[in-house]
Amino acid sequence: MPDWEELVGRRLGRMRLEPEERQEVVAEVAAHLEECHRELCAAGSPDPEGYTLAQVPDWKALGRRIQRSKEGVMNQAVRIVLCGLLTGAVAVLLALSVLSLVGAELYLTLEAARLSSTLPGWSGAAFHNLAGICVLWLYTAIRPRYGPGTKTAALAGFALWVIAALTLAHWSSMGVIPRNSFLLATAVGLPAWVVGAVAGAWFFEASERKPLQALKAA
Amino acid sequence: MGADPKVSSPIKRGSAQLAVLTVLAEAPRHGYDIAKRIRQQTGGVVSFDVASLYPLLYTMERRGWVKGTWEQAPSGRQRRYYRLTPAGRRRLQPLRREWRNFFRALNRLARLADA
Repeated sequence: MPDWEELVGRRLGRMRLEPEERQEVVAEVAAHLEECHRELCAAGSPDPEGYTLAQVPDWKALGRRIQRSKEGVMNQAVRIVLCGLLTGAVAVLLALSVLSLVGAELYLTLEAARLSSTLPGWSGAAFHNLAGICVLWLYTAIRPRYGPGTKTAALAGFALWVIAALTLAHWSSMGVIPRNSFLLATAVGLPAWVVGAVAGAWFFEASERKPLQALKAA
Repeated sequence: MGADPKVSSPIKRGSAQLAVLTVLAEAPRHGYDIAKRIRQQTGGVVSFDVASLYPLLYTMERRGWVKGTWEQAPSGRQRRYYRLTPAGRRRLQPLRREWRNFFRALNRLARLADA
């Protein structure tokens, strides 16, 4: 007879739950499988272990589903928005800091455009924050496939940069944006969005179970 | 839940909630017992496995419809027993009504098709 708790604990892998909560889940699922196995043995099943384990075709998916059930969809949505805002803020601050150092001319042009714009002062930040939320949403969408972490976050940031760069390239080819400004903005935008996405994703992962501790750690 | 994969998610989710809440309205039960009772009561037509049952139970617990507590089972082993909360009972009544209406409507359609 297999050690069901050991088996379930190993197969469920690392779920982001409190250790006691995870232990409870493992004990509960193990007890279920053990009882199922015992009944199959009593009924003379030719392969009780195989039939018992067939109940869980994908353990990683089960771990993710259990985690989602425990934390709730709303919590996830709130975290995407908050960490997306952080992503946008980091990206725009980084981009402006670098631009003020290496692209003073473009920086001054942007500043002048902002001052003469009829849009409210916060609108630029709002666009970047929305873009940050999109990056974080993309990160969570591709996370099940590529796994959580820096590489996946960088990929999400890179994807947003590609879309933005292609749009700017279109405007630049039409002469709306000077070629040099386009090249500088896209060059600065790449590290800014990648770093912003990594920062947002780090916070997203850290806040998965313990939002307050993540705030303190930051 | 061993249902037809072509059945849409909200229908599957709703029917799964109804099944679990209904058997818990009879008596507190642990996970395996819930799955077994549903299988028995539906003649095997509706069945839950580990992968479908526990995420549902945890979601229902988070919503406050059921409450799980560790207790000693007759076998002597510690098991997590789920019982219906007052919020769960309130949820069950309209759910039963909705499903009864739904199946009544489907029956009417089926009779129409047979005629």
